[in-house]
Amino acid sequence: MGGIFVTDNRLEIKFPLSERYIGALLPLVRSYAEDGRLSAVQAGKYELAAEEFLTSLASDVPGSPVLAKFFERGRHLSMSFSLVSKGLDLSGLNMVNIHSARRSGEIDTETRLLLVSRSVDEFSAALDERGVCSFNCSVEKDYAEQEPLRSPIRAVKPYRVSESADVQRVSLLLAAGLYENMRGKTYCRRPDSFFADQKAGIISMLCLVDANDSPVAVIPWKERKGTVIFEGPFVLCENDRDEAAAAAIEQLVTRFGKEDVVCALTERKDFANQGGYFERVNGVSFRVMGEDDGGTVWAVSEMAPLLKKQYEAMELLRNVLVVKGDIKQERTLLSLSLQADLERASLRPEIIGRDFKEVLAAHVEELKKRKYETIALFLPMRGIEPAIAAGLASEQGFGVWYIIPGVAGGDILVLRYEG
Amino acid sequence: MKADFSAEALAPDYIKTFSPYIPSNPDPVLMQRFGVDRLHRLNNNENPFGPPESARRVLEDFNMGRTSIYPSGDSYFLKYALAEKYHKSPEQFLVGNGSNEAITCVIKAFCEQGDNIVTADRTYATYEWVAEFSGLEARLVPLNERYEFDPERMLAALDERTKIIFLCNPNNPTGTWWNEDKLRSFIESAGRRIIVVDEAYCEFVRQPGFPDAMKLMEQYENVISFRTFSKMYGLAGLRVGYLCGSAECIDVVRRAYVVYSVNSLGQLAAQAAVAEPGDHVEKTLRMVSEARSFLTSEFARLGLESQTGEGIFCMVRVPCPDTTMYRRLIKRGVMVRTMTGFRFPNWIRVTYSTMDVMREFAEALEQCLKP
Repeated sequence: MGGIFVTDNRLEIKFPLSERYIGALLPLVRSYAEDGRLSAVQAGKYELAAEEFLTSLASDVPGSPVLAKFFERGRHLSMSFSLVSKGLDLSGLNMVNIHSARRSGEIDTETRLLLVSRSVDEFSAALDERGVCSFNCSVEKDYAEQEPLRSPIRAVKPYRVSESADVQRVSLLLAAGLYENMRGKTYCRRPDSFFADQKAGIISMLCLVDANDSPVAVIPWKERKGTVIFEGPFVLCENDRDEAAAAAIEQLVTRFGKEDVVCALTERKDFANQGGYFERVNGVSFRVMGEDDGGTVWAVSEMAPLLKKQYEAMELLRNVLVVKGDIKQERTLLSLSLQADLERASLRPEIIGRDFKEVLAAHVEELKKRKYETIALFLPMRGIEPAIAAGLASEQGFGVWYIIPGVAGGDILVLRYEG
Repeated sequence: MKADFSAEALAPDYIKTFSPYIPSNPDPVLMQRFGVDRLHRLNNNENPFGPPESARRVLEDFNMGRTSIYPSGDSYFLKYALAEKYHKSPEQFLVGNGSNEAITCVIKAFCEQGDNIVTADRTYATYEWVAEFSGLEARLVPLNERYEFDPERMLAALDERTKIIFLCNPNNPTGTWWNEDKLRSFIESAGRRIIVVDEAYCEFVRQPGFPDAMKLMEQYENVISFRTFSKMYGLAGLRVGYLCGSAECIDVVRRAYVVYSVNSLGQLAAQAAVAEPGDHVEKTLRMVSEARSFLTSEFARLGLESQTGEGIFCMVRVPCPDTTMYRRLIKRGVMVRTMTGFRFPNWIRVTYSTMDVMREFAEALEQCLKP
């Protein structure tokens, strides 16, 4: 039933959910967090998140075995709690819980999870095919802020890709100094946080240098399930800027030519598409990496014309299959990823229930209050429930933003809240 | 039991991280999906004339009763036909189910964990793939600015664990090639490693100074030549390729070869093509020459950069993603190969074909370029 596993950078404990065990665990969590990893303030946030999460779960499924993991992940100190979802009303674990009947004791579950989501820097939930539900949250470690650099170089050809850590650091600081929209990025101001994430495989960057090894362009990028999402290119030289941008983009695309990447895209409206390597639809520039021979996607009748139009604009061949049906599950569970800089909140349904519309609306309301610039909803385009969910989201003010083609054997529809 | 089983967990790390190659859908599926009534396949470097007349006759006359009998396990008669043509011993040949099988056999035979192979970054991908899914390092050396294999950088990439060097001559997809002097100089500098010269497209080259690895191996025992019946001889559907090297080299490679992999039809047709090619080669070369000069001038007229070297193919750079151009062209009944996967983003590779098809392709390309 129980068990503990400790290494230098990881703490794993399996125990039955009860106040007694939680109380015994928390000092250990605090020690782990403070052990050279977080400042006292951050460690306090970390401990609070663990307490609230576990208390919340214990009120839902007292006595159930939970596997708690505390670990370092890139620039974050993270924790995850996994348990078999059978018998658990997962909807109570949405960031915003609309089912007020679930009150327990002095503080209700809804308030607890809101507290958690506010005290941590990332928060998400996931359900795997074996029915194991995992809740994850992370607190950012402390990294020293560095002064941005503001003097672009005069580039000398030829250009080449550099993997040097020094070049990467200077590139980030130059991007922060030369581009206003990069100044707010934690990873530009604190390059060591970027390197921590890079080491963990969470983010990466392509740096182009000139003949003197001075940085001429940088592209930070992330890969998630075969999709590369990048920013930039941020040109760091004063001369031949378009050429430097095109060369950096060509190197990026070439890099993924033989990798398991289905699509590369950038959501940046200011992307200039030097070299013609991308297509632009709805302000999103994308590139399908392989030979896309078409396929079938599912949609409810209200959404079908919009999707057909989107596919036409993307020059992608899809049979939009109009489906009708009912949602089988009762309760919805939404996974939520929040960006600390308030730029983006991403919602992904783990379970689509009959209360989807209400749960979505409650989340939008909360995220609007927190002033998130973009609220995005990601839905697979295969299956009746996601098709119905897309229609319901549309009724809630979400519009088609873009489609990620061919991910995990199907397309992903990305809807954006338009109010 | 079922819940605990994970095939993924059993796989070695180098398999877990390897992505399978996804081949194109069959023609009827593509035609139905894209709503076209014909599809010109300009994507796989296939010979539009098909096989030589002699091979056609053999295929037409095939005794159906022989389908229940295993083929010759080591392509006995085909090896003798090849030996006669190239004045070598049959023991110097190993026939495989396409040259991909030959590539696999060579890598399996000579490399073990910790070894590496060296080749170019923008060449036929199978060398790299087989090395990687065998848990070996593939050292990929960039082509030079003229899109040629770069001998100096390749030599610099070698170390004591380099067992095989793969050279594609002429190179697919750039059509660039090393002359005999350059190849000899490289072989002499590369030390006692296996040097594979992939000559899949050598029958398309009529350039003075173009080397013949079949001859070079008489002087250099570490040289192995790969050839195929899929390109010039139009037998791609039957999958017959072969390698030739010193008897000692081939004896080692044969130990990693699973016999009976080449079917009876393929063996017979290839044997006929070797023995009696007729005017097939000359006819194909005329077609290639005509198509090459037509497309070169069309690309120039359209203001497109192109790379037209040796082989049955050329490359052209388009002003949009190659993958988008692929979809635009297939809607017009023309299938080309995107080059992103070859690390040439925004380039497409086009197989030369008869003039009517080339004109249709050029017209479709021009339409697709219009905004």
